[in-house]
Amino acid sequence: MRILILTCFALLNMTNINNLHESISATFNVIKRGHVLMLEIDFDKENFIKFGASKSLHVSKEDFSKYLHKTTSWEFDGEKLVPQVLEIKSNEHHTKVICFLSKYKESIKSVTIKNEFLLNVKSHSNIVKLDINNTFKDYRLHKERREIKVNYN
Amino acid sequence: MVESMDYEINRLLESMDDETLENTVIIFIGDNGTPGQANNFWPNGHAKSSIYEGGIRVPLIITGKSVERVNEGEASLVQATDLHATILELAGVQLLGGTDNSLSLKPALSFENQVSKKINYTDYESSNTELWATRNETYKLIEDENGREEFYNIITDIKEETNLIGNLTTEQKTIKTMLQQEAQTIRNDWSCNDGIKNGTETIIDDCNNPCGTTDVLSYDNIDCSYTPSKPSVYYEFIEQNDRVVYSNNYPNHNFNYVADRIPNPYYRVYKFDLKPKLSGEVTSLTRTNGRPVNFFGIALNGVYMMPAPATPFIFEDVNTGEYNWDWVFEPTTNIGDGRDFVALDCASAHVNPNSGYHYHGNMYEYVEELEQGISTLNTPPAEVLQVGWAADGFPVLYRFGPDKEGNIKEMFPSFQLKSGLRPGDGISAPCGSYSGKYTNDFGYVAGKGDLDECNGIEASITLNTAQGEETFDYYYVVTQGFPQISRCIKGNFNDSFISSSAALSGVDADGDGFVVSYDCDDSNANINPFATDNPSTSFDESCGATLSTQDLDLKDLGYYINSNPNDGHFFVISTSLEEYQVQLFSITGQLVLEQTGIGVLEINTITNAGVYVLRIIREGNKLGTIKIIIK
Repeated sequence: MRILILTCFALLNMTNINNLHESISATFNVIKRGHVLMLEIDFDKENFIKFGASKSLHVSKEDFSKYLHKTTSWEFDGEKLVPQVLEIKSNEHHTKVICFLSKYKESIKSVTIKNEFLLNVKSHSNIVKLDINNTFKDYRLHKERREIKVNYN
Repeated sequence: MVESMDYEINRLLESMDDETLENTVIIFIGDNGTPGQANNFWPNGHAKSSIYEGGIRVPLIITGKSVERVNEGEASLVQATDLHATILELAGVQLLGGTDNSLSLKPALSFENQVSKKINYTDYESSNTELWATRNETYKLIEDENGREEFYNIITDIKEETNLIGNLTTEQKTIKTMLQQEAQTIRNDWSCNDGIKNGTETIIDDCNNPCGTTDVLSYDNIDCSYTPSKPSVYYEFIEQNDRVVYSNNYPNHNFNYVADRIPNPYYRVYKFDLKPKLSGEVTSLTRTNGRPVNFFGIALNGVYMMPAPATPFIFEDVNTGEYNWDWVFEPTTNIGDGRDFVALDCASAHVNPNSGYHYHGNMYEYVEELEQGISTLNTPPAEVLQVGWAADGFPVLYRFGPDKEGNIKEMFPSFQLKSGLRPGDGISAPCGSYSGKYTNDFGYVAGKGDLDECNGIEASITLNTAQGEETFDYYYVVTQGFPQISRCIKGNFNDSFISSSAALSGVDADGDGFVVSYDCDDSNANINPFATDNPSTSFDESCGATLSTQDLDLKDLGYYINSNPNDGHFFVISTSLEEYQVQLFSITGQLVLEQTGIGVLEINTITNAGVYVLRIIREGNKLGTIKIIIK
């Protein structure tokens, strides 16, 4: 490209790999799907089998339900909800669990969640996502922050 | 004189051949005002050789190549020094706003309201006295080294005949102080309000930063020391008006991983417009709060592109732990390893625990597999390189593409770092200068580069695809600079690219990359849609060579049974908004129960133990069946 400047003179003048994430984490997605409130959990399968009181070398519905109920609690507007495990999907390293929490109630005002899931694993965090009330909030819980209270007022 | 000037300029332009003229930017500017004796408009002493408007206000006309605005006026404050940065950017030099005191006007050649400078400064020496003038949109302050001051409203008083200095309103006093301070800054240092990275600034207007934290960026990838051990599958076919891609999202190039996140096949089917059209709307890949919700597209090796990162790469409230999604780590500037980085390998990719390997930015390793040297090429190649399809069906090219005239060139994005300081307090939102640490540190400047806000361009492109020669009137580009991969879509977004859309849950028993529902023999790796039919056998090795999308499992469609086996009391749970119908049949085919509703349907009337078949129907269509065991 050429650039031509015409000036009008007014009569004169002029690293390497692995073990990188310190933040090993499980995610807990509380989400309104259709007319129901679901809890979708993703976590490291190996850690659960090693540290999550699993009786076998795979993630079973029974073991997982027990451990989930022991290490977490879910309270919406003062009502304690118990997650029902609907499906467990595992691949080589990770597991996704789909849980039913309740029928969806409009305008949830407060949520209290306690979560100690796999906190016996070094540097483990639990990321809790709240996809309800047409807003999205999420939090990182860890050894020093095991509970959150969220007000939607 | 005007006639003579017109004549000479015409003579100059006529001397250029058509090709040269078409590839030339013509900038016409006056060097100073007209002498007082040559006109009687300006008051005495306010024309040439003065610091009044009659001495410094000159015409500026820019036309020719790269100038998309025709017969339009630009009211913004610009000055002759700005031509330096403008010419550099027109010649392909990428600047942060401009350089030194020169602001690039290139964005203004295409779009209105793109000049970020709000103050103009001029100085002049007359009779051994230094004078300087500083103005904003409305007011102009003139000062000299002896302390003399004049203040004019140059909108209502262009001739500067009414000096307001002795009778300023409160608002005018505030503006005068601001102009005075800005003049002192410009005379002694670099302005922090000019939208230019100048002097020793590390970014645009990096001044007066009270933030205690310093952002650390990383451009070093975590290497690619592992070779793929499984087939990488991208299988494309046509279904009605859609292009359909079956993929296992497994890379065909070396990769790396973090912790135990080894790439594993992640089977999905993507559908998108075969003949895409611009929709007139922009669809973001993220929610309004920055949370990623959509994939951008699919690469031709079957790996999906999802540039926006998710947790934990978000600014975290220091006190509450709440993620602030307005401030998402920008993957292209946080490439390396460690808590504050995204950890991308040499293809700007990493692995999501449940959704496989995906590209966040410039996929160097992949494109080098396609065409060696393309990622570092300094001159345009003879042919463009398509690397994928966007979620609206438009093609995605790598770095180079044709401009509107059909010339293949490197395409530059139109984003730059914002100027000044972030508004955050460092507790709930990051503070400090816009450094590039967060995606929100970058702003779109229309016309700065070649591409639009979605890193695409309306230009005709003809490609040889799996379907033969196809022509499109829009395409996206993976660029070297931010955003590398687009963060939005200009055509009709297809829901198969929603990140939470169901993956295929089937098994690939023979390891050929095709799950059982897409493989006519999942016990034989030599039989799949990629296979070539052997005429000496009676087998259909290629599975008919065509596929169609399959019915999904009820769970994949969002329908669950809360307990199975059960005691006759159970719930059917639908995650769909729509009404649905449940029919329960005995093992002999007798209808024993029928129920319709939304969300959760409770069934508690079955008293006889046995095996039942539950059918789910929506809008008259059977979605699927499931066996129910009642004890």
